[in-house]
Amino acid sequence: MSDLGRRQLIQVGVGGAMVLALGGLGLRWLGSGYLLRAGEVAVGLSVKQLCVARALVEALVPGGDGFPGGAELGLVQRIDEEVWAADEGMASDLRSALELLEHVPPLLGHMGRYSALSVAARGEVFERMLRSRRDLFVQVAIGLKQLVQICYYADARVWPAIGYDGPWIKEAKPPASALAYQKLVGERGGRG
Amino acid sequence: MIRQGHELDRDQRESVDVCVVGSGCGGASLAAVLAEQGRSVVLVEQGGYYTKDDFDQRELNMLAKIDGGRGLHASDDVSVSLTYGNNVGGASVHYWADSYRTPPDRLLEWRDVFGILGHSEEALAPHFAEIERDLNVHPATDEYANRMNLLVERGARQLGWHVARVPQARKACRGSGHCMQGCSYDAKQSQLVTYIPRAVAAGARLYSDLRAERLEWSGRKASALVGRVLDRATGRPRGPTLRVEARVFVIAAGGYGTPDFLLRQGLKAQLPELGEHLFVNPCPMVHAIFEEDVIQWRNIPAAWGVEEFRLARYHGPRRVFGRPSQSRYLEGGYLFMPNQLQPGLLGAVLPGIGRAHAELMRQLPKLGGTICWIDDVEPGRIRIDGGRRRIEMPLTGGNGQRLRDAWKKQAQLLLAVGAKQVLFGDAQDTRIERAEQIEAAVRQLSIRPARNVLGAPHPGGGARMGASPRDSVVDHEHRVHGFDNLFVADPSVFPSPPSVDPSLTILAFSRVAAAAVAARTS
Repeated sequence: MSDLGRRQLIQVGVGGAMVLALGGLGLRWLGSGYLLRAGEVAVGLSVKQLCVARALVEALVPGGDGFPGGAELGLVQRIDEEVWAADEGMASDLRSALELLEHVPPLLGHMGRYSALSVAARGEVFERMLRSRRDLFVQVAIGLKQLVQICYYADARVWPAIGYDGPWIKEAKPPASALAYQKLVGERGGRG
Repeated sequence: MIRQGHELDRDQRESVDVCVVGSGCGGASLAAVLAEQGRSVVLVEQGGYYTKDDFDQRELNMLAKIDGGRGLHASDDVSVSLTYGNNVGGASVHYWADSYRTPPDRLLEWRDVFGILGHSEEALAPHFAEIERDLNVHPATDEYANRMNLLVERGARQLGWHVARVPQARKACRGSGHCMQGCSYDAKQSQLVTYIPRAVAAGARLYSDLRAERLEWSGRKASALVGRVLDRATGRPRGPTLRVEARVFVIAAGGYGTPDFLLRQGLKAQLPELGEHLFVNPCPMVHAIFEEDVIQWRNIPAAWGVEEFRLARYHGPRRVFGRPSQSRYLEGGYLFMPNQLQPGLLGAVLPGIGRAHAELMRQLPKLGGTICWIDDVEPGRIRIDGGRRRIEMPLTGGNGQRLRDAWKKQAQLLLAVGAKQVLFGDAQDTRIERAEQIEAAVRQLSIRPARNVLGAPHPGGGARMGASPRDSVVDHEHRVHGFDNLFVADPSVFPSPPSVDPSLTILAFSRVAAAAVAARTS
């Protein structure tokens, strides 16, 4: 993310917080009420960021009509793994992107945190970000969209729905980072 | 001998004739030439060492193993996705195997406009002949053309555009379509199966999972390179170091990696052009839904390529990279290819979210598309900011003109061969169904940051060649200005994009560099 992007992020964050304060919701709203679900572990992301990522996954790849839902595939844990394995700069950008997403709805016509909106409203907010005139919103939305969608469509459990016959090499050979991450998740009592 | 990071438990020392940083096309071929001439060589590679047995054709697994930044890195404003190798063999392990000689017109431009000496068509011809033998380069034959390839060939002929078989570096290709995930059959003739084994057989020692961090100096000479072993699981330093003392050091860390490394050595003050003049071949994609199945994910990515627009057409003299325009741009300035993406990447670059996106992906067998490698004219730059690499890549000016023309031509061809819908893949999800909609659709496409999905697979120019440090970083022998024994052998030295896939140009230039290094170590 560029320096300009960072400045915009701060401005948007401040703007969002002001909107919230005016709405009488208070600062408690900004950081509380985030709970992991059974089997989830936050390794690369904070608990809050993981909850936002889960909300995003539900909006971007909801499943149905032959498609498995992103939540059912454990996609949020896969995203946590990517952030954990990414270099420091990229991981920091992804975390910032999720933080911005969580607090952006008041600037796009929806009062409430992103993770507290209905799935339909989350989709609407995200579409508005993609089509926004503000570069930062598009940059954040495109980055998150691509991360979620590549993780989803690269998953073998999705392939029957899209008519993809899969790799010719039958045995998956996970990278060292995946094995190390799985170990960490296991040690912390997660499902991975 | 190849030693991987996990095999190194304590600090190591080496003393050799030549130390090479990076094992892609530039570093591996130079190492092989020098080792076969009897020089002692150490190769240092930041990425891991993987063979065909590690290539499982799963996109995420392979992005983690062989792609720099796990495929997540982008330019500073998120306009282009950065694609580069991070493994023994470098980007040649995930490239498409397209293997063109540098076009003579581009070599002439480099000589006449940029003053490059010793890299003429005649000087490079014997190198190209040898490289083509070593890599088994041949034009793609009919059995390698998938349906999308055939549609591009047919469309180009229908529109009167010059189309040709793409020269390929392959042996007994099975046509799995997983070139970008590393070849599981050793059919693609990457550095992993060509010059690296040759270098090692001739005695070169290769250290993988080792980040080159610091050069030590003795006056105008580099005296040693110090690197740190990385933990492959996390990419973070693990503890042990390697110190290589050498008579000559060659930096071949790639179009992004080499300027990055040299900038971190604090050389910008002496070499003001370092990190400037970056090009990346930004590549716009256009997608299409056909009535018929095209199964674009199988067989080789590009058996046929449209060469009609490789050189841009101007009303007046043609514009040169980094120089102001003196003529009115008419069209072209890109190579035009069929596209090939496995479902993960395709899903990520197709427009939209939710159910609408899923319905698009449900049509996967009927989804095809094309891609253009833009021959940049507006330079970008690489800088280090707070320890982090920053890439600035303008899509405005002449680059923007070429992007728009490439979108138009791709839509034109796809509709001409029966696409029922063409998708530009932009954030606004622009789609058209008829040729008369092309002009208006392309006119409204925004080139503001992140509005389009563009790859950046062929970086170079950040340590360009020239006569003096006022306008370049290395001289005609690939030696860094002002230093007696520091060389660069990769696309960073190109003064402008080669206008075709750069692999053969890198290999041929590396042989010129190898001759200069050999002379200093005889």
